[in-house]
Amino acid sequence: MHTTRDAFRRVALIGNPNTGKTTLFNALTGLSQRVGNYPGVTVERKSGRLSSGAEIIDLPGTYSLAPKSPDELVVLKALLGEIPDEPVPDALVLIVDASHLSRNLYLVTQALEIGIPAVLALNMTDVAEKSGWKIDVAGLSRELGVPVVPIVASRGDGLDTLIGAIDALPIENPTPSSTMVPEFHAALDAAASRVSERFGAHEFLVRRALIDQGGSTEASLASRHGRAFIDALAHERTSLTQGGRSLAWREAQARYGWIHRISSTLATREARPKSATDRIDAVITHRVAGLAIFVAIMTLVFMTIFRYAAPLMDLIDGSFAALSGWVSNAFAGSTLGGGLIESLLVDGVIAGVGGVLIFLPQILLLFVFIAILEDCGYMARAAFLMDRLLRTCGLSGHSFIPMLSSFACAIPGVLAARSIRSTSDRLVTILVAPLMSCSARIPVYAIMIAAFIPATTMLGFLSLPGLVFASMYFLGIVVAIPVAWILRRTIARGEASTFVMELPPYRMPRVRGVSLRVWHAGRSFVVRAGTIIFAMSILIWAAGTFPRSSDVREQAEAARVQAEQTLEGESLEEELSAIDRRTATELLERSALGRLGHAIEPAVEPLGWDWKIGTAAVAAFPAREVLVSTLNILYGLEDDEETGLVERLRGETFDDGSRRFGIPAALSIMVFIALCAQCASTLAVMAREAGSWKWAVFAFVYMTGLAWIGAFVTYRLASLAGL
Amino acid sequence: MTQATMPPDPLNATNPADGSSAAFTAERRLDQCLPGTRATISSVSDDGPVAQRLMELGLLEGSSIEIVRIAPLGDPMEIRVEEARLSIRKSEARHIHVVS
Repeated sequence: MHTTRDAFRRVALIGNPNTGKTTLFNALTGLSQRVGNYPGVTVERKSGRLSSGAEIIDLPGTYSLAPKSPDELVVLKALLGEIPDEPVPDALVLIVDASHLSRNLYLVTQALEIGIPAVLALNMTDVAEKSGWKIDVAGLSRELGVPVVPIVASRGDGLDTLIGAIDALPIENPTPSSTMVPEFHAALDAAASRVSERFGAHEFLVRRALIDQGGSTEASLASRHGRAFIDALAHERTSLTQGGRSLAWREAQARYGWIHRISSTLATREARPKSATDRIDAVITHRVAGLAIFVAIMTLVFMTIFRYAAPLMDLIDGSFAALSGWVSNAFAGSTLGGGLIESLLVDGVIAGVGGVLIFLPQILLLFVFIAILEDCGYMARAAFLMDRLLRTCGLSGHSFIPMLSSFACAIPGVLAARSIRSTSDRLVTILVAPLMSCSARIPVYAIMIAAFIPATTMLGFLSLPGLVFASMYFLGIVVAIPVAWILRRTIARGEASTFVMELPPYRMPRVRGVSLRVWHAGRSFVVRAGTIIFAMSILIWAAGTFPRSSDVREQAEAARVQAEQTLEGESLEEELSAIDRRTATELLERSALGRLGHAIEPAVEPLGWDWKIGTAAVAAFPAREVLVSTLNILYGLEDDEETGLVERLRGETFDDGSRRFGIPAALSIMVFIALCAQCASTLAVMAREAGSWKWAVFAFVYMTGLAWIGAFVTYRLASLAGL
Repeated sequence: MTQATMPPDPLNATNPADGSSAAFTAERRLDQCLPGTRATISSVSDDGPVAQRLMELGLLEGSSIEIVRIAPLGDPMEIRVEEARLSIRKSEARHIHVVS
């Protein structure tokens, strides 16, 4: 029976990592993609529309249906319809890399046993042909019992045929075919159905749990069915193996036995020439050159992010300043001028959201680099080079990309931790990622260095301000190592991290793939700025505005009246704006935020701070850079003229006339900002990604504690050193 | 199917001079092989999820394997199985025994 194209409403795309799965998905769906989350787990759910109108779901890349991580478990459950609101797919597109056919067929043989109509997309046939492969497409289709379509996803070759093949699939499910040894398969089936009937679990899941001892399926089912389930599995396993090799071993032997038998005649090749990847790798992972290239690439990334993003950031800054000006002007003509609504819009919303959106250029640039480095295959090599280093703190090379991303912004860093397979590794990576100095710290470092660090040169070529700046970056890394080490041995204990990873062949990155990645990253950042940061900005504005002291306002009004009577012209203007600044400071001091600042003064005094800096540090809870804008308000300045704030900080004195702040206080503020968790949006993302608010609270507590101790030690040591 | 194997003398295995002469007779652990070695897997002596992943990637008894290089910092190692290049830590490679 054949059917119309409407019959297939849901198509699932599955395949090994590095098979060009994402490229095919992009080519099939383009901008119709929607990125969401599977309920309860932080695995991305990517879907889009085929030209036929059917929904296609891009499942995470996996080597097998024996899940060892949350994203691989999602693949298995999605294929079985075991995820809420995700029915069993109507059809499967199995993508394989033609040059790695044998290994890729492993997953295919497992997936075909589920019994969903499927098409095999034989990708990168151009590369395979060039390296001497000859594949008998018709023979492969006959052996597998499914249509096989050769494609080159990156060029769009064969996609029409592929879509046609999907539409032509029979609607009823085929009889599951098995490549396992029949007697073994029958015994396994009988055991699985016994356990499945007793506990009411999906039979295919139970079969996986039986074979994949210590894997995610077993853990997932055990958390639902309890101890008795584990015991039942153990019992069945004992009788199945009878002291021989494990079920996993027998499955692998059976499947590869079948695969090697069919591929020896269907996929043949001439002698393997030394590939370009071999030649590139000889340099890229070379003992000396490899590390030098790594350092050079990282330097290039950072230079670009920090130096060349500046003009774009200035542009955004300028636009928001213009917007503030325009809003203020609009209010000036009305009776609402100078009122609460104007303040809410200008000081709260525009300043708050603008202060975060300014980092968009850096984040986009970083993602351009990450997407290019990942698509061309370098990221796997970077992880290969860095694994040994990350292992010293109990992590693995998989944590490299999250850490790197966190130097621009911890949010994409925490999100990138999704690709880490080990749950403990992932949690530790999420918890230490915010220790990397993100771009939001730059304004604080910049102003403190400008105000207090003398612009001298050391040893003839090292500029002291530059050195202090760089040491703040190293501080985060140096602190993260012992923190990760301790976390890995205490709250995030668990299996030792592993590092079995494929080093994919080098490939030319695709403009389409890179731009889609950057577009998605940029969009989610802007959405976050428009929601969480928007709300937090209003909250902090309200805390800094209410309660409004009527005494202060009456005094201000009286002073204005008096000034207007006694002065005129320019001196009147000056006096009036001086009154406004004084009033703003006094109002802030009596607001909830100001009172809080005074209340915590004893806590920040040992750090060499006054209440204003303490208040600014507390107000910086939504985002670290708010420290600078709050100090601007607290020191009675009208706008963000940094030189103005620099002068005021330098000129601040004690009652006896001695200077209030010096190098020790400046260093103490920088160290605090380097280590603290003052970023509400990062904490919100951490809570979501780690699966519980308690991890966000934990991160906030440990980082604030570290920041305080670090700032205290820095202040004392610097004071002792007579700086 | 030999599962239990005697680990070779580590001194011999890490010494290139002795390694070449002993290569044809001794079975040894993958983590003790030098870059450039081509060998055949004789056993995978572990049953955990990591061993399962290695088997899924084609590291089965009888598979040919080539040690391509060791990472600059001494670990992990890069191996080639059929067409695939894999990164594997020495601690994971310990469970794999090979004969040349």
